[in-house]
Amino acid sequence: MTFDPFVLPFSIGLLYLMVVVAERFRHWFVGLPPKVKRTIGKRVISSHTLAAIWEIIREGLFHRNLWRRNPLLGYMHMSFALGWFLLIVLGNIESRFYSQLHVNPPYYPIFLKFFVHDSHVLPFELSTIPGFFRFTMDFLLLYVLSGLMLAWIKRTRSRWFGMISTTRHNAADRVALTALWLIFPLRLLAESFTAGCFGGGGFLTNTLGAALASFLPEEHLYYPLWWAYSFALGVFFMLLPYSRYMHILAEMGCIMLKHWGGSEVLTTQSYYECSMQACSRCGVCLDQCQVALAGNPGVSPVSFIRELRAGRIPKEIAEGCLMCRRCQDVCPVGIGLINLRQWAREQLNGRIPVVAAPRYSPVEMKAIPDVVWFAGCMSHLSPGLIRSVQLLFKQAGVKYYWLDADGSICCGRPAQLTGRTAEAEALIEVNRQAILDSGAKLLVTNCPICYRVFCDHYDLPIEVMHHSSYFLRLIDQGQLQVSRGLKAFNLHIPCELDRTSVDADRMKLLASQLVENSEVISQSEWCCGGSLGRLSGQDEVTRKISTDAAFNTAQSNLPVVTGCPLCKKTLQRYTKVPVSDIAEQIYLLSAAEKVN
Amino acid sequence: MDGKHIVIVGAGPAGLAASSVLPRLGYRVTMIDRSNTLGGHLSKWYQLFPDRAAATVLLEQLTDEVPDSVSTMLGREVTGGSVSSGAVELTLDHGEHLSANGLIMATGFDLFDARRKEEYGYGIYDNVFTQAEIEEMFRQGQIETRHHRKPRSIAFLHCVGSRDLKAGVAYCSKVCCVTGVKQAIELRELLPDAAIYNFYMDLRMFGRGFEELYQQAQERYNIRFVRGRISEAAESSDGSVIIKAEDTLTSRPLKLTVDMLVLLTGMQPAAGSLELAAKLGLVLGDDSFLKPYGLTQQTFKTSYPHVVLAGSCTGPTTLTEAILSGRSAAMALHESLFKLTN
Repeated sequence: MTFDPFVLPFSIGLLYLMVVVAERFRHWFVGLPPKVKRTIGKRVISSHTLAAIWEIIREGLFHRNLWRRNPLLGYMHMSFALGWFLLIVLGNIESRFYSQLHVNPPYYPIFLKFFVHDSHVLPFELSTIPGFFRFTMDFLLLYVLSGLMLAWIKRTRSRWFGMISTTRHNAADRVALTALWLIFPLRLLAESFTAGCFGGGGFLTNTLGAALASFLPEEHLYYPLWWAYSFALGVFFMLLPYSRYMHILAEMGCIMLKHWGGSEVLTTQSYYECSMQACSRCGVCLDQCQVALAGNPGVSPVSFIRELRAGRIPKEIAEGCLMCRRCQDVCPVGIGLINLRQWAREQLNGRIPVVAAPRYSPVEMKAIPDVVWFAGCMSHLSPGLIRSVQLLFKQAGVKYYWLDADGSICCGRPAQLTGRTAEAEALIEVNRQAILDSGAKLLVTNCPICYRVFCDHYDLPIEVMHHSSYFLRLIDQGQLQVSRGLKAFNLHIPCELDRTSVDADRMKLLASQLVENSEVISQSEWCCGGSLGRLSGQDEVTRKISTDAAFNTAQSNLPVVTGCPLCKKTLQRYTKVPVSDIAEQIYLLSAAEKVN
Repeated sequence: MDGKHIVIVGAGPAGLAASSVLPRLGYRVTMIDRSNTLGGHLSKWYQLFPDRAAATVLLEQLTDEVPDSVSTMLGREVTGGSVSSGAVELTLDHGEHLSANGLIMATGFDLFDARRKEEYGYGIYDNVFTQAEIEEMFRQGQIETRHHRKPRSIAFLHCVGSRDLKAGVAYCSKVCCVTGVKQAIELRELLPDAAIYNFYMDLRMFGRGFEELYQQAQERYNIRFVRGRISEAAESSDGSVIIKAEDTLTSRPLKLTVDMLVLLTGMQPAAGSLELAAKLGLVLGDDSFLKPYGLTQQTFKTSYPHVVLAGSCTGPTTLTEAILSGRSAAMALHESLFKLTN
């Protein structure tokens, strides 16, 4: 057995890390609801595990999503993850040729170059590629060091990475970061100096060792360097569970949970805790967050998660968010940032008792309608939209029942966004019954905010559609004829329609069918800033958010067409170009009866 | 004064008042207006608050005082211009040039475009009107809905495009409160049996006789005042307007069907005023009205000694104030030109 006292800091650190992390994962698993546990039990030995492993390789090692978003940042993260991973795997294989043991102490492959000064050719390298291990291990070290160089640059020159701002760290993060940044240079020096004294090493360590030997007393320096290397590793491991580097392990945890637990796991306390640890603080969300861009970076997801990790839920941060989903769309780790913010709001406001659930007297339906139509409160403030929809229904011969003709029904989304889940559920239950009582097989709404809550929380056995999708269907089926009369315009995609969804694709398709052939539609995915999601925050920041949004949406002073009555109202306030709903445009292009 | 030439842009009450003063001080005066009539908004009004004086009489008085020597160019627009030391150069729509020694901006206001508050349905529902349209009906002596019926109920909504940050308007337009009260009384005289409502958030009865008018409206004319803004309006199948509001004094939501909804729209800077200000390099305030040198003193002065501001181009004013400011701006310009020459 080969041993030297310098391996102790590394070994203790590693042991500590394993115990703490095992306890964390145990805690998360125990905290899962029984139903999810059963699902996990069923899925452990199944293709779900393979899918999870594949995702871990893809995202944890190769960082595919980050590459897509920001190649330089992708390279940086991949060089650390993949480079270090391969160093460990290859180092393990290499070490086995020397120890001849099936199980080596963990430190042995890590410090192999201290224990073995062998410049001979290893068995299976003989004829084909002599020095394969020495070359590859040095190459991988160089690869990791290249990433390290980028990390240094990013600290001071984030703009070179195409990022307006980078993340700021707490004390544990900073010490862990320093330890991490020291690990690989120390390894390089320790291996080089050892090679300089005893021979061996590859193209990098051998050459550097030989060069430095000419003027440095390497025989006195190499041993303290191995201590320093081990110490840096030990410190890094000890701090890892308390720093952002926990994301390396937590991301794997999240991926496993997601594949094993299915959609139900996504709203569990355990998943929230695991996913808030899974944030790598890469900072991609910072440039997407309109609240951050408007001068309040504290509200951005990365800052919000830092607070959550510290066990705090500051009201202004939890409630200052627009809930616009732009961050979630780009998060390379795929953290459910909207759910997480929602959860935080529940912690703050969820305990306020339910005031009163509304009651509606049941409506006697004379005949079962094709469509139960829910305009939504914001549509009621937009009579032009309401009238367009009514006349389009009439033109297409749609039999509909207008559920909120009186305008006094709330879909429940505002209560939900406030974190008053119980109150929202009381509303949802009553509304759900009213929708089902209509007997219609299709629910159409004009408001993406209502649409979101209908889809995600009503658990309706009937189809739910935003009017853009519905009118597209009516046009496709020939029930509605529209001419291609529109000139170039800006299409604004409302947040709550979900930019990444098929609904957004349908809205874009619909828009493309309204313009004259050569006319261009530019798309805007900026949140209008009028969001119900932003519960607290300074008015001037809110105004800046909307001003930025209107500026970026009303490109080339062309008219704006949106699909949300709230976005329409908000954007109208901040731009001089005409803003309308896509239904109003369809109405103008259709053969529907024209009034006024 | 030695035949120096002064141009007045705007022939509303302020412009008319200024043009009645300057010729008597020896100036050659040219008055220009986009519109084909003298008097601006006054020419479209029927009766004036607080004493219900006829608008036509006041307009006659104002125009009578304008000496014949004033050259009046109606239906003409200023399309370009520049200000240099001691001179103002203006280009008119037919390419004509005007050189002047002094300029009075009396470019007035526009009524807030009620379509910008879409929730009230102006331009969409048949029976939603503005106070200007009601004034026109008074002039015709006929109050009726778009379907030519005698209204049985009418609601006035105050502060449309005033004190409404959501509409981008922070300021109070000052005259709509009393206009609403005045029109409600006039309606009562024509429609003794109708229900007449005023939805308000504050009633600012600051002028002489205003508060008394408000008292009379409640006591003698049975006008119902509800403190609370209307949140939204819908149209019923018979063309009447369903309004929703909150009565904030009883904290109760309220739903009401009326035959006519009248929006008391606020004042905003006239489009022409903004265009000309940009060309001449005049400064605007945060509210987009022309910004004078001071708000208590020197309220007519601009950064140019020979360019002065009069009337509602500097913010909402009553008729009384517009007329006074027209005369005062004329005197301020006279003093300024006098100092420049001596």
